[in-house]
Amino acid sequence: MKQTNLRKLVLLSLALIMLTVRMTAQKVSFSRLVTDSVYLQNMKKQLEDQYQKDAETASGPYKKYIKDIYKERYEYIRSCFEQGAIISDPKAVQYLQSVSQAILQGNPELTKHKLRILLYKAWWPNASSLGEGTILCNIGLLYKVRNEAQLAFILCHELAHLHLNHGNQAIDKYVNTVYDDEFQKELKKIAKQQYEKNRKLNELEKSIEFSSRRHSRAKESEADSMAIEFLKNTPYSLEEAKTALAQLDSIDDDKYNIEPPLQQYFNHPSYPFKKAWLKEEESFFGGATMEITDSKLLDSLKTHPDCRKRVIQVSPIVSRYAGKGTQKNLFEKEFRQWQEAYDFEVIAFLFDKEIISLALYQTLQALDHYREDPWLLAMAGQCLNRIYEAQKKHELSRIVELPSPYHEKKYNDFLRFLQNLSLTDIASINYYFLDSHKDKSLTNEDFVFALIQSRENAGKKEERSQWIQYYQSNFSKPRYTIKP
Amino acid sequence: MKQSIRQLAWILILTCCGTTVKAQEKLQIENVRSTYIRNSGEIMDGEELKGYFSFFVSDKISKSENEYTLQILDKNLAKVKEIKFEDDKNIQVLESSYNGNAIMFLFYNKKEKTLEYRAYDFNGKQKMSYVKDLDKRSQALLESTYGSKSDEGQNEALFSVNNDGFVTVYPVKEKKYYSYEINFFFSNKRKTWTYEAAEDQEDKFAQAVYLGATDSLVLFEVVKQKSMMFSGGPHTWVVGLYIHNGKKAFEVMTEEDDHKLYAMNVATISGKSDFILMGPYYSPDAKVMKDASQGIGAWTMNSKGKVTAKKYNSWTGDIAKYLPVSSKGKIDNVGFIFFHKVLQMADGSFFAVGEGYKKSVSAEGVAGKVLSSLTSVRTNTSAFKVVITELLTFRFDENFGITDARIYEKNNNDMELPGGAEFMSPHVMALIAKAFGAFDYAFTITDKDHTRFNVGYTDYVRSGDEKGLQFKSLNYADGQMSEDKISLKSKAKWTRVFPAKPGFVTILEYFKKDKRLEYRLEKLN
Repeated sequence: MKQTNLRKLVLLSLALIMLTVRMTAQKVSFSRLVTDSVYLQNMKKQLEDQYQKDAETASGPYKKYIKDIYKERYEYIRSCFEQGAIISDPKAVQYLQSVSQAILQGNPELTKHKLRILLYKAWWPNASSLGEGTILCNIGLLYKVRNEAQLAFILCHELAHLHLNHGNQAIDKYVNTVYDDEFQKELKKIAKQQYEKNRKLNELEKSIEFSSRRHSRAKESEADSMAIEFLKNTPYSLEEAKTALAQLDSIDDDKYNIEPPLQQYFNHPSYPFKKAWLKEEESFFGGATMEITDSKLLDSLKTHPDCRKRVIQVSPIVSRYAGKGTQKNLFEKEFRQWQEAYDFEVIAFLFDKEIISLALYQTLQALDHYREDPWLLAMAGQCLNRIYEAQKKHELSRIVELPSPYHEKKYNDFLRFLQNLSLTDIASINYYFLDSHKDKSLTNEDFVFALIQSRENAGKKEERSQWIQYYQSNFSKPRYTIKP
Repeated sequence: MKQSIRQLAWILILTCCGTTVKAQEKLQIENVRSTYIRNSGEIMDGEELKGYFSFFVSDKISKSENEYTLQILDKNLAKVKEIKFEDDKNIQVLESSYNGNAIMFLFYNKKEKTLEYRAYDFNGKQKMSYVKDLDKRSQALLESTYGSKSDEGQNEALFSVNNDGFVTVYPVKEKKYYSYEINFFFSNKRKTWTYEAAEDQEDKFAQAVYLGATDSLVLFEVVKQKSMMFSGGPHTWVVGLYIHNGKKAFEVMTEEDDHKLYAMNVATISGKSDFILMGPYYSPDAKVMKDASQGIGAWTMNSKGKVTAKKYNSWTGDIAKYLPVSSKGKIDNVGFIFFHKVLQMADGSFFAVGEGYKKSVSAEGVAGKVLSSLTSVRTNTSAFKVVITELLTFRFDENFGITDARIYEKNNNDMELPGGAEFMSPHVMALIAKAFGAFDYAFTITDKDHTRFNVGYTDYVRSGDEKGLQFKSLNYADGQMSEDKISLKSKAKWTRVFPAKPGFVTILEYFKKDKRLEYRLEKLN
C-alpha cells in the first residue's frame, strides 16, 4: 500500500516538474478588474449630492410623494455600489469616458447635465437613464454590440432621455395621476366597496398602465430621434443606429449562442458520460406558460415600440444626414479588448452573485470560443465545486435555477442535466474534467485552487495534499486560504 | 373536516394579504387589493407528483359568490396557468389529479353539501363538471373519514387512470348502510359512469380504497363489516370494475382456506391482464383488527378475479433469515411492523416499507391510574403507550421471494394510548398511532413507472453535532439503495419537508425575524 502511494507521489512530482517547464509558453488568461475606491467614493458623493438637491427642489402639491420616489431611486443606485456591481477599474472607466467624450464634444448642450455614466456589471443587455444624471450601462450590453458606433447610439439614446427630462416627467406623471383628487376619490370608492373590489382595481390599474406604456413608447420614439441628432455630431456612423435598433430583437440571445457540448466536456474513460444525465422531463399541462398571447394586449403593454418600427422611424432622419459620420469604431483595439474582458467579467459577476447555474452555462459556452482558456476551465471547476457543496447541504436551489417553461430550451436542458447528476456524479465529472485539462492550466491560481477542492470533493485526500503543496510552492502571494 | 397535511396550510401564511388602510393617508392600489388563499396541494398523476395548485379567493362578487383563481404550478414550482371562475363562496378544493390530457379538481361545498368534479383542458377551459349532492349522513361520513386514509403526497379520492380519465371514490351513507360510490370520467370523451355499491350491499359497513388500474380494470380494496362489533369481521375484498362501462368484473374476498390477505397495493404485470395484490397476511381464522399478521404475501389474480398464484413470506420462516423475528411476528427491539407502503419496481422486484411499534408500560399512565384510584377521579388514559421504533425495508424478487430486509435505526418516540389499550390488538394500536400521526414515516415518492422511490421519515438525534430533528430518506435508484439526511435545525424558526417530484423534496423554512417563508425544491442525495 505504502509503495503504491509512494509511486503515485513520485509520478505526480515528475508530472509537475514537466508541467512547470511547459507552463511558460501559455497565454495569460483573464484577470479580474481592479477597484478604484477613490472613484467609487467620488461617484457616491455625487449621487448623494444630486439626491439632496433633487429632494430640496421637489415642488408641487404632491412633493412628499415625489421625494419618496427620488429616495427610492437614490437607494436603488446606491445598492448597486454596495453590491460591488459598479466597475471602477480606471482603464475600463477611461474607455467608456472616451466614447462618451466623443458624444459630448459634438453636443456641448449635454455638458450642462451632471452626468455619471456608470459601468454596471449586470449580464443582461441593457442601458438605462435614471433621470437624475446617472446612466447605467450594463456590460452585458457592451459585450454584445457589434461596434462602438452602436454603443454610442445607445448612449445617445439614454442621454436624450436625460436631456428631455423623461425620467422626472414620468415620476411627475405617475404622482399626478395616482395622488390626484379624482383618482383618490375613485380609489376610496373602490376601497369601500364590498363586492367586485379587485375587478374595479384591475380596470383602474390597467387604464393607468396602458396610458403609462403608451406614454413610454412615445418617449422612446422621441429619444430615438434625438439620439440621431446627437450622433450626427460625432464621427460615429449613423447607419449603425439602424443596425443597433434592428439587433435589439435578438439582443437577449446568448453571446455564444450554442448548446454547451456537455458530452464533450464530461466524458472520461474512467467516468463515461451517462445518457440518463440528459433525460428530459415530460412536459406538464401541454407546456403551458403564463405568457400573454393576446397580440393586441401585448402591444398595449410594451414599454418600447417594436424594433422594426423604430428602424423605419429613424431611417428618414439617418438618410437626411447621410455622409455625416462614417466611423464604426474610434478605439477599435480597446473596444475589442473590453468586449473580451467583459465576456469573462460577466461570468465572474454571476459566480460572485452565486448564480452558479448561469455562470457554469456561460462558461461552457465561452469555452467553445476561448478554447482551453485556463480561467474559464478554472471557473467551470469552481462552479462544479460550489454545486457539489450546495447539493451536499441540500441547498442547490439557492444557487442553481430550476427548469422552467420561461427559459430557453437549451438552458432548460442544461438545468435538467444538473438536476440529473448525483452527488457522486458531480464530484467525479469535475475531478476528471479538471484532470484532463490540467496540463495547460497549472499557472492559473484559480485553476489550481479548483483542482484542490475537486480532489477534496472526490475524496482523494492524498492528491489534495500534493496539490496544496504545489499551490503553496508556486503562488507566492496566495489569494486563497486553504485548510491543510 | 380533517385537514390533510398535504393541503399545505403553510402557503396560507405565505400568500395571504389583507387590507390595512389608514384613513389619513393617500391610498395605493396595492393597499386596497386583497386576495386570500383558501387552500393548496399537490397535483398527482397516479403516484407521481406532477405539480401544485393554489386556490385563491381573488374577489368577492356578491353576498353568496366569490371570484376564484386556481393557480397551477409545475413540479419545478413555475407558475404555468391561472384559471379564474365565479362560484359559491363556500367551496374549497380537496384534491387534484392530472392524466396527461386534462386536469381535474375535486371541490367540496360544505354549506351546499356538494362534491363537484371539474376537469379543465390545457387552455384552462372547463371540459366537464359533475356535481354530487350529499345528504347529511354522507356529508358527516365524508367529513369524519376524509384525510385519514392516505399519506402526504397521495390522493385519497381522485386518481388519474392511464390516459383514459379519472376515477373517484368517496364514502356515502344510504339508509342504514355505510357505503361508497365510484365515478369514472373519461378525459377524451364526454362520458362518465357511476358505481353505487349500496345497491347490492349486504354488510352494514363497506369502505373502499383505490388500489390501481390495469389496461381494462380499476381495482379497489373493500373492507366490509356486518356490525361494529369485531365478532362480525371485518373482511377484505377486491373489486374490479371495467373501465369502459363501470360494470363489475368481479368482487372477491381476499380470504382463502390458507390465508387472509390484507391488500395494500396492486401491481400490474406488463403485457398481461393479470395483476398482483400485496400486503400483510393472516391465518384463515384470524381477526385482522385483532391478531398479528403472519408475514407479507402476494397473490396474482387474473382479470376475472381468480387467484392464479400465491406467495407468502412468513415472519418465522423466510423473513427470519434476515431479521430476528419471534413466532408472533415480533422483531427483537423493533416490535410489530406496520406497513406503510408496498410497491413493485419496474424491474419486477418488490419493496415494502414498514415501521416498528410496540406496547410499553407508561409511567405517566400508571401514575394517572394510581392517582385516579386514590382520588376516585376517572381518567381516560391507559397504563400503556405505543412506542414507535425503527424503520424497515423488505425487498422481494419478482416471484415475491424475500431477498433482503434491513433495519434503519432511529430514536424511539412514544404516544400515550387511550383507556382500554390493555385489550387492543397490535393492529388496532398501529391504526390509532397512524391516525394521531405518531409514526415517523412521512411519505414515499415514486415515479409512474416505479423506476425509483424515496421514503421520507423524521428522526430526533439526541446528542452530538447533529443534535436535533432530522429528515431522513431512503432512496432507491438504478438498483441501488442509499440514505440521506437533512438537518431541520437551521436559522429558520421552523423547517418542514414535503413530498415533491421523484428524487426531490420541497423544503419550507419560516424566518420569524424577517417574517419570511421560503420554499425551495431540493434534490435528495
